[in-house]
Amino acid sequence: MLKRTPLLANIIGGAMAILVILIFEEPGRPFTMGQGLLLYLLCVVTSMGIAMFFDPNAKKAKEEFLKINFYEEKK
Amino acid sequence: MQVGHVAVAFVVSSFAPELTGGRIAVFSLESIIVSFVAHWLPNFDVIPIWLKIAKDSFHCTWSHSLLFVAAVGLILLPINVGWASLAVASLIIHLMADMPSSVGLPILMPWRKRFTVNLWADTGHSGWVAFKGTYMQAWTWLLEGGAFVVLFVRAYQEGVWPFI
Repeated sequence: MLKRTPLLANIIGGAMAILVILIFEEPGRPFTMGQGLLLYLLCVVTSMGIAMFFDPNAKKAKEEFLKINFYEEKK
Repeated sequence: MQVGHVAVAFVVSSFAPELTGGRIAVFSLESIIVSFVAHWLPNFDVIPIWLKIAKDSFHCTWSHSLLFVAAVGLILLPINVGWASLAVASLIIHLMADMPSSVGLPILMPWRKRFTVNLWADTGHSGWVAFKGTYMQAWTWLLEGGAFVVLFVRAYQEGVWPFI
């Protein structure tokens, strides 16, 4: 994994968390700091996927696993 | 999909009233148990593999088909209509969650053609290699993390923990 991948995930995750709050937060029922932090962590996990699209190692891992047949009969 | 199945099963239970015509309450113990058991049922096909009764190739075959979904639904229908509806929904969503794997699912068994969206490479049915390999790929993080974000929003909307 490239060093920039988690950093990119944090930036995208922050933007995603703000977007989720803007869309789903109900007036008069704001998220607490803890809930916001939990949402941010979940969004960072999700954003890891987006960040990994720009990481050649993730693509390489997929290509390597595609070469293996895990269900081949053992002789 | 690995850990994401937990979030997906909870999300299904969050829609229990809609899926069962109001027979089962949202996030109730009943809805959670039925959703989880039904959602994990297809993966119990690894048990005969672990017991060396079946070959590795048995994974993701009959238990991941629409025939299996129909069988479970028909068995539960005379027992409890709500359980049957929720179980069928959970099973279909399990198939959808596994469909992005490159191995594909023979959903139209006994026709053996496998269908896949091919978003991530298959890494085997169980074990550390399967687990680690899954999380070396981008789409698994995106979809599984996304499932947890959806669960967070559903918990907020329904006012359950951590939103009490």
